[in-house]
Amino acid sequence: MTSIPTYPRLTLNKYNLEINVAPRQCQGFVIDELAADLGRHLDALRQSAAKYGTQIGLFGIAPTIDDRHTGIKWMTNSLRYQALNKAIMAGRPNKVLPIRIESTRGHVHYCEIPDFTTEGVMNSTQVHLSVEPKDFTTLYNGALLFAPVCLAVFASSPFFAYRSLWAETRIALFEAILKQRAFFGSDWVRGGPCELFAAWLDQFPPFILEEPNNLWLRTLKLRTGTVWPWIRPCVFPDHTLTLEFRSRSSGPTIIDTAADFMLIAGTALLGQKLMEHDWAGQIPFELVRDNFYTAARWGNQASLIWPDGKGGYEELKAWQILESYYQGIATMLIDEHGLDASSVNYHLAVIEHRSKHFNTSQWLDWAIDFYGPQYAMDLYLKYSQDNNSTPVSTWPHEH
Amino acid sequence: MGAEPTTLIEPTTAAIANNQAGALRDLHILKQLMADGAFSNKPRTCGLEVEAGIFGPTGQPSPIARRILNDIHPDVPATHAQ
Repeated sequence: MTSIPTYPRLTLNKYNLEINVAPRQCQGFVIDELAADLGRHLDALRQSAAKYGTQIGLFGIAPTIDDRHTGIKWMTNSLRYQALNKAIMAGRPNKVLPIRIESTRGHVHYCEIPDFTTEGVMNSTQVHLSVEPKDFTTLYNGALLFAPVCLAVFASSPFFAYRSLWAETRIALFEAILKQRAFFGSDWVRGGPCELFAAWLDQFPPFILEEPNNLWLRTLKLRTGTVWPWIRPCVFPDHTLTLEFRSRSSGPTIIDTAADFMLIAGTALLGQKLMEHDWAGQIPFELVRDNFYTAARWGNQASLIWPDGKGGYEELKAWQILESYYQGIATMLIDEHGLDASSVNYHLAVIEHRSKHFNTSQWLDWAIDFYGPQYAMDLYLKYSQDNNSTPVSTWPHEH
Repeated sequence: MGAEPTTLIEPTTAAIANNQAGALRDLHILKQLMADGAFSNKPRTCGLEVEAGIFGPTGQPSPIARRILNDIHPDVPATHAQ
């Protein structure tokens, strides 16, 4: 992963930045080291932002953002995004992209967007976990199995354009903008990464065309970089293959980000073990995919379908499923990968507390109902910056 | 964020055909590299990419990302090829 630059950089809209934390070996105090690196980057950005009377915030979708903050005037001068905008809007009747999201509160949010910049109202955290080609299929399927459970606990973006939509509205909005190129999947993966890439080359024409050059596997990387499954294989010039986990929103704190990184890695590696024992035969892929969108709609309150161990299924909340696997995740990370036990157990406790109390989406729901979007935003920024070691599930909140 | 292109070209039929041929050629190279073990026997690594927003005093987005980047890394281009 040496080609990921380790300094912040511009992304789609002029009010967003992307922080790349240097990749490192998955062992020892890696959770704490990633968190410390992220903290250093954020401190530097926050100091600079303060000079201009601004703040840096880690949101899935900020509650004060709406269509006034989209449009070409907000877009950076990145050639990538200019090309993506042109390709996505090409052939659209009236040059608008219709967005329709059925909210969990019974109403339908409908709007027409004139360009791709609405994608920039969403901020995500992407986790990369390297894998050897021979282990790719089982790790990928294991990650898919647990992705809904993780998403339920991670849900962070209940609002868009002042409307309450899904617990993780990013999932609905991103798929509405990118259409068929953004997806969870249609079946368990059976081949390796090259089989997935070959299918995408067949299915999706190029969005970005550039003058030929000699950069490493450049054409393939530009093509596969314009397909956005929620878990995606990536290859890097130092001959690293990774799974990129894309469904987690950004924020709210460093400690929550670190805990969620650990849960993603731990459940994927545990899921890989399960897949080696034919778990894919125990649960149809369609149930896992339905679980993913149920988790996106309802977050912690989602009822997920899970094998009951007797050949049938039962409906469980994410916290109930996780209770059965905490020991397995800890054993996997500590005993098999050499992560520090106190670090793993501490971050597992953060996850357990959040899954049983409230996640970011639930806190924002409450705060916006109670205070309105503006003050909820102020509180979120305050709590997320005052003390980075205070996870969201311990923020002030009245049930 | 994905790779930043160097120079964009128009999506002519020929350009699209060349792109498909180039992508398939790259895929063949990748398959060969994997078959040769270039991606194997490596320690497990992990990394994070975190997107952040910039907000003004009233909670509205503030379009000053480039100014902030120039402050903290004046020598680094804000976007670049991956």
